[in-house]
Amino acid sequence: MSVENAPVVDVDEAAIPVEKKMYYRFESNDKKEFRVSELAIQQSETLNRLVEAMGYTSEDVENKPAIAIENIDGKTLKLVFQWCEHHKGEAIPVDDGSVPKIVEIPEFDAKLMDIDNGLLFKLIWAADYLNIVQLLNVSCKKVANMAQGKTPAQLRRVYLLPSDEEDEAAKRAAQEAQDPRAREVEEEFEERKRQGGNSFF
Amino acid sequence: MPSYLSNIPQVALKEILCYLNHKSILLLRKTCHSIRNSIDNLKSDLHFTSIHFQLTPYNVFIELFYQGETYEKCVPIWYIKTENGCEIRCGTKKIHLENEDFVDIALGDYELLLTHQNMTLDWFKLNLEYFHLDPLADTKVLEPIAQKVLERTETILTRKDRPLKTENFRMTVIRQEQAVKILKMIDTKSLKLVSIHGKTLNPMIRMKCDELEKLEQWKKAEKLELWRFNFVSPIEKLMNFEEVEVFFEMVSMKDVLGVKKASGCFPSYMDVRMLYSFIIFLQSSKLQKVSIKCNDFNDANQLMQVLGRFQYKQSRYGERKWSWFFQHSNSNHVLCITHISYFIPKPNYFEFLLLTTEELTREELEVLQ
Repeated sequence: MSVENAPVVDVDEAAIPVEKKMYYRFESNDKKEFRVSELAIQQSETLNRLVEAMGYTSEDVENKPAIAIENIDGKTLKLVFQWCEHHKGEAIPVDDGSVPKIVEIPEFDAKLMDIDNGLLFKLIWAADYLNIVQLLNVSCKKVANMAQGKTPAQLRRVYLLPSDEEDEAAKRAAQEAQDPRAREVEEEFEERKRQGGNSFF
Repeated sequence: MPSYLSNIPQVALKEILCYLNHKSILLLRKTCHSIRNSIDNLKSDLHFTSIHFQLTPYNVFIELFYQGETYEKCVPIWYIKTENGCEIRCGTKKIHLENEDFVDIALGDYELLLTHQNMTLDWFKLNLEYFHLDPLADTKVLEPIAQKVLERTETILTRKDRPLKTENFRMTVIRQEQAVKILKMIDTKSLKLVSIHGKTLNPMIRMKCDELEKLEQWKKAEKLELWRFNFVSPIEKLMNFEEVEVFFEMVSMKDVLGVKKASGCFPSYMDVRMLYSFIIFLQSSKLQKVSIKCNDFNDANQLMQVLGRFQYKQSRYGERKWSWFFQHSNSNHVLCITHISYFIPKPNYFEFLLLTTEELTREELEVLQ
């Protein structure tokens, strides 16, 4: 079964036989509803705090409206909750600041993240917003892996980055909208940088 | 919703950068201004394992080491003074920058490297090579440049959010204050070895270490190496180290006789500091190994008479070793004194090593006193 078609709700009851599971309902900004187990929610610090603060009973969960997540679309949220259900109960890694950081991408995560770059960046954005540490780790690792052995031009394509010219043009347009003199100042600054900014790197 | 790398949250960008090697990060800096600014603001680690900086009057040589897939690799970069500017060489790449000063360009890059270094370095080396080709002329040329390098390095290290971490610290200098300036900026917790080198040519300079001795970094380090200069501080100052390697010029026979008078029953041929180290060694709780190098030592025969039974070994490379073993009266500790010399005139070495009786071989036990 492909990951894309896998149910968000985990039906493997044998995993937690005794405890009665509570499923919370969430809604994406495009009105897609998801049911997510309590244990899976614990992977997200943001959502975990939210449901704790709400203190819903099992009746509330069914009767009250779904909890809205206004910044994330359904397609992204589906991936997020699939990931949380698969990794529920796992310890949340603590960043002790040690470098280099070693993160392995498990097979499930690799398949889950076999998506276009636009969606991958949305997933990173969501993992950061919902504070899902390990999902942020693996998705960032995946994005980092994409950079290996690429030239600046290739990196721009992969990461959808603007060139310096486009970057400056956008900045200038934004500044000019505010202050017409900004362009002159900017040009002078760039000229100075060109004169004194030589470096091997 | 933003899907550009330049628009993702800083936390995520920081996370991505921590998985990238220096090549990818430096290339990414070249893609656009906003990413370069973000990378510089985040000061993401370039994952170098050692950073070496060597200054001569006519070039700067930076060596950057990093962990490859199987072994450690090195990026060597030369900044060479030319008639009308500076030439930068790295592998097969060559760039010439007109009207640019080689030291300024090198320091610009050095700043980037040190600012981004968060990981504990294996080695931090900063070598001011005063005696490159012509000692007198070079010293004059190098003095103002060396000053500039030291001041800039100090500023870079001061601006860092956290002190630079390195296990091994080495500087080649001609004055104590030059080493103090940089060593004081290094993180004390990670530091294990302090290694200070003097100049390479004779006569050997005398260098005080009184200012260095005040530094926390000096007090906390486990090992000390003082090479190519005559160590003039009393040897008691070295008691906080576990391993010490120092150099001093041996005194003349006349001085030696004076010591004999003063010291009574102690081995008479040693100079004052040799004698001190002998005593201090037994008193120190930390010291495990002291190596002393000296220029002149012509009285090997007398040494044998005074120290008694010894073990003699000769390697096929011309190294001759005499070892004496003395049992400590109140413990099973054994002080091993080794004198190493070569057939060809090279410095003599003395090594004081603290062992236990269990560590001795049968041959060594036979000569134990």
